[in-house]
Amino acid sequence: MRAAACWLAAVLVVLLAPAGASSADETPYALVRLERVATALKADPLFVDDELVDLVDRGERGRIKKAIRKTGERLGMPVFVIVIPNPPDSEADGRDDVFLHWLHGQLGRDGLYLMVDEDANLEVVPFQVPRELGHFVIPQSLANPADRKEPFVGLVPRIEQAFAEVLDAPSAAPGTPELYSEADPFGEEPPPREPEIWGPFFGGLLVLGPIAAVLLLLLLVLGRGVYRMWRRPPTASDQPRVRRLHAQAEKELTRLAALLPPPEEAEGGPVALRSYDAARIVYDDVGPRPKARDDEAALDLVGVIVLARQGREVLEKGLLRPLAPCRVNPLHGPGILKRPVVGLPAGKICRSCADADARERVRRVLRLPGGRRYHEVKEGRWQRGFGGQDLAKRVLESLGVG
Amino acid sequence: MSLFVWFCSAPAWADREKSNADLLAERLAEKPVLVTDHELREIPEGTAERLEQALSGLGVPYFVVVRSSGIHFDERKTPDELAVLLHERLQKDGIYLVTDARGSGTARQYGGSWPVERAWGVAGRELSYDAGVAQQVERFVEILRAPDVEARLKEVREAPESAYAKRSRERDRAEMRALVLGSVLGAAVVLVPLCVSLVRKRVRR
Repeated sequence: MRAAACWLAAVLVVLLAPAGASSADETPYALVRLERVATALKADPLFVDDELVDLVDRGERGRIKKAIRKTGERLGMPVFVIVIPNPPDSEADGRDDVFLHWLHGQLGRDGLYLMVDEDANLEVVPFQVPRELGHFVIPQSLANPADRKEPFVGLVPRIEQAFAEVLDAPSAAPGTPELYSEADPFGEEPPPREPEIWGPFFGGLLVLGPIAAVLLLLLLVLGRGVYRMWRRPPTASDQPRVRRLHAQAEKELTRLAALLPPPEEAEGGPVALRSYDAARIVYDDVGPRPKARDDEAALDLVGVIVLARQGREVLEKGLLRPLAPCRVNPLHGPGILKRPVVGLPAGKICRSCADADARERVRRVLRLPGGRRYHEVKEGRWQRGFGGQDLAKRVLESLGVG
Repeated sequence: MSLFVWFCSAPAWADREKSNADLLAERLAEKPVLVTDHELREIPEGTAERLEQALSGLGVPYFVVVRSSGIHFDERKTPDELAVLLHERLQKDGIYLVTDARGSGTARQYGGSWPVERAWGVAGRELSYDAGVAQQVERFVEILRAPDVEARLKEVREAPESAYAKRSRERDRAEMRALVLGSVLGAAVVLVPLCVSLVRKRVRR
């Protein structure tokens, strides 16, 4: 097929050397098919390509030729009908209007050109036809087949109708519709898209980067919060849960029990024993499953922890008397520095609380599950807090044991 | 009598419209490689010569039709049907290859039992989708000329990345780099002053 086309091309170049240049400035190879069709059209105004030959039978061809003849006579100009596939990779980029314009350039003859592509779409381009025609020449309903599944059914009436549209248009000075856009340059299709650098860059710089930074910060803050919540012992929390207090109290009791009975020479032995007794009784009073919102149980358990620690400290450090716990939060451990805390009676507080500023100190005061601060409780065993020289004795007295 | 026969047979012969297969067979009889000119942007110049050169290495007759791709209508013959029709009309032994410009098609051999159909499929699978019909025919011939064709057919060769895919991958990468670089700078613009002020506050306290 190609050799035939080449041969035809050679003949055409010899015959029509000046006309060949009008189909854009394409390479000779790009014009192979146009030349083939142009040569055929010189002999017969109806061209049916071999690939579509099965779709247009002899009878239909006769009727199309008749329509061509009649229309040509009435227009006084040549009429051409070209039935040819025009896939997207054709020289005309799959565009039927481009194909007809290039074919017109190749053939070098004005007249009415009608093209039928492989989907039976009609494309009509009048070259210097003396009729007033719109840009699309024929209505869209006529240009596209009625039934996409059987596109070639009713082709001849559609062609006849298209011719009638042109003939019935009002007379005007000869004109040619303009081709508003050309096909891609041959061999450069599709034009490779260069990477976009500045769009993504500024998108990242102005939008994504800042958003990511803010999210990262939020995540860090959140992560820090979660980490602290999990890692901090309940004693370090400002509002420990009853369950954790219970577990901590049990642990502290066990640690103290491990040191008992105290050695003979230990000076704080009786204090430690007293602390243990008090803690043990209170702990047992609370029961194995205190309620989560039980303020009284929470206070009792804080007391157990403080007592058990005091007893242990006395033995471990060889003290005579127990150390009073931090005034801000008794779970912090012994108070060692005297600092004022707004709303609390004067007393010693731990180093960490001493390091905090005044507002932070107030914030750190131990809270009960119900939300009250521990020193706001004005009834029961712990109304005087956890301070004092001998907490264990006071507790035992309140229990009626001492 | 002879006039009668002529009279009866002539219209019958004349009425029979030449189908696409008839026209192709006529042209194949003259030239064994037909390449469509409907897809000049897809099929590079000189493809027919490349096909002939590759196939002549097989040492058997061959008939090749490269049709245009992307055309669908009910009357259009499948590559298989067309290969059979072409053989019926030509009545010649040899390899019949009917394909489109993208290598979607089939191969048949008459008067021989080479695994041409499988070879054509394997050749297509071993190449990227945009390799083109010429490269696929060359691979097809290479497979059929392998010392052990069966082993060669079973050998699984990965299809290389298509030029288009490679280009778009590189483009995506470049764009992603730009995005990441921009994001890092944008994040730094927000984070650095924040961190500096935080550190200063800590130091002051």
